[in-house]
Amino acid sequence: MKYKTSTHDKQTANRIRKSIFSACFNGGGGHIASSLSMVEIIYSVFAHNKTDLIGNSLDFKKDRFLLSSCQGALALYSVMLELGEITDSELKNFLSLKSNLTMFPTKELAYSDMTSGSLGHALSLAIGMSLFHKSKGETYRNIYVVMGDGELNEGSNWEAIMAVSHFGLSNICLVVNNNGVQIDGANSDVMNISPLSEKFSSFGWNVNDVDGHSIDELQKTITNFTNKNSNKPTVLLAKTIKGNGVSFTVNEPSWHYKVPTEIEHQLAIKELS
Amino acid sequence: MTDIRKNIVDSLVTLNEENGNVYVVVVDSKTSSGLSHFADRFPNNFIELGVAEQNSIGVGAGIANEGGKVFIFGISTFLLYRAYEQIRSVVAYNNYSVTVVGMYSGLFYSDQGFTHRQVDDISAVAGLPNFSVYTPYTEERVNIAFKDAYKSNSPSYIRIENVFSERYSRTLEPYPSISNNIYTLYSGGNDILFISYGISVSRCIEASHELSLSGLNCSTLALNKINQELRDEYISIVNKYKKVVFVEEHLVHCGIGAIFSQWMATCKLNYIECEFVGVSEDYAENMSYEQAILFYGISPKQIVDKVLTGESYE
Repeated sequence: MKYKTSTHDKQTANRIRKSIFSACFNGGGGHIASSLSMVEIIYSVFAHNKTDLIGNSLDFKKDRFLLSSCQGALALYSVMLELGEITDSELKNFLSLKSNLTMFPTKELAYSDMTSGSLGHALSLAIGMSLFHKSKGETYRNIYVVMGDGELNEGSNWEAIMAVSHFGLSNICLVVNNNGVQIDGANSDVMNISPLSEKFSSFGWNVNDVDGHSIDELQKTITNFTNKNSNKPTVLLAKTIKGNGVSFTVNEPSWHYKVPTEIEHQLAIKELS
Repeated sequence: MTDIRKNIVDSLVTLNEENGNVYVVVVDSKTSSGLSHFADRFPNNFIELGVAEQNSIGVGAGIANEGGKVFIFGISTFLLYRAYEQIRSVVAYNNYSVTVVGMYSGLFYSDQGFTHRQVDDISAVAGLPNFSVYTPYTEERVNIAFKDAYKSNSPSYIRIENVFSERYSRTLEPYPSISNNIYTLYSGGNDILFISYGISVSRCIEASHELSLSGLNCSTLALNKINQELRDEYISIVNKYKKVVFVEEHLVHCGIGAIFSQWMATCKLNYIECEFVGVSEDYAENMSYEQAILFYGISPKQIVDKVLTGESYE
């Protein structure tokens, strides 16, 4: 894949990836490969406009963020560290007793509007959030959902994809982390979900095929969404690589859930530095 | 014809008129749940999702996350079981103010067969974290259940049985009663305590009248709400009797009789004799509601016979 990422963006992404590796190493658990593939996506959702950061306050001026693909928790926490929303010591306590940084994010966190852990739920929640505010005449609030491509096997998602379009919820932006891999192998072998672009189009969505490792491209597409250039719901089919950024984790199934050894941790940090 | 759905929709309309923030979610079930009046009156608060039970619970949770009070209606088996993970892991765990209204519970749909007949919902819901289970037995209790669920900041399940049964509109006196939002105790004597919910309560009252002619003085504990926190309150009532008879349109091995038995065992009330009247594990072929009630021995006369003779109708 030819990256369009600038040097500055690449450095940002590398810092986040280092945090992911270190948090998994220190915490003794976590989903490294999925998180590595979601770094630029989550960063771009939160940082597409620094004055418009997302939180879960009921302040109607704020947006919503739902991590449907719960295995991206480490990416979310590490992006929050990058953006100054959490501290180094908070991330170091990932998975420790009493830490609010659990295996999957909860709705108690300021930057998460759902409790993740099981797949196929976030888009339905987003519909409810959107309809509630629509009923109050507040149609300008943006709701972001990040979902895995394997997660699209879940039938509940297609009930929701149909309903988002039916209600014309153009304030919903779905980003699909399209890394082509799930636990048992390639999507095409486990359960073929392509062609996604045609599927979403036929369901009435505004479809954007983007490079999921290009912060620049992601941010521009998200800004286009926030500018309300479409009256349809928006989906970003973000092409990514599972385990991206570290040579020995790229498309390596064993890294779906694996704690790095000290040597692997050091090697990863070295590659990303 | 009696139709408890009228009370339900009137309760919801009143709640939204007086307090606002009521959201009704349906799964192609507006007509079957009798909700057209609410939909017409508050179109912005009425959400039709089509035949999509899983989505409905998630959408309800999303509304509740923003502060809405949500009531989701559907035929109980479809809503509860198609969307059980959403109910468990999204609504219950996150303690959302979402009320799942299980319509046509109990044996009502016996003519439709196993897919429709709801006789294990108490078992499925009573153990979920944060959930309260409402099992109203009169029109008044239906109104109370919806009001309570609205006031609650936690999830609820409301079990609505045969909506056309005139038993919902019966006057259950003349026994002196102690009543609160949780239960009613119809006190007719200390020989036997019936414990029941839903429209089976009126069957117990009928059976009590009949049994009094045989010299047995019976009381009935009618349950409007069930959850673990109420254990001690209920056990303090049960403790005064030597024999308890549970009556329910539910599988007996996992219904209210089973829950109370576990509570009674925990509290060492081993000296109280128990009888169970309800749905056995013998699957009834498709049959009418009335035939199903007779098949499982839940009619008032069969309850009397069981108490007097111990004869099983399974």
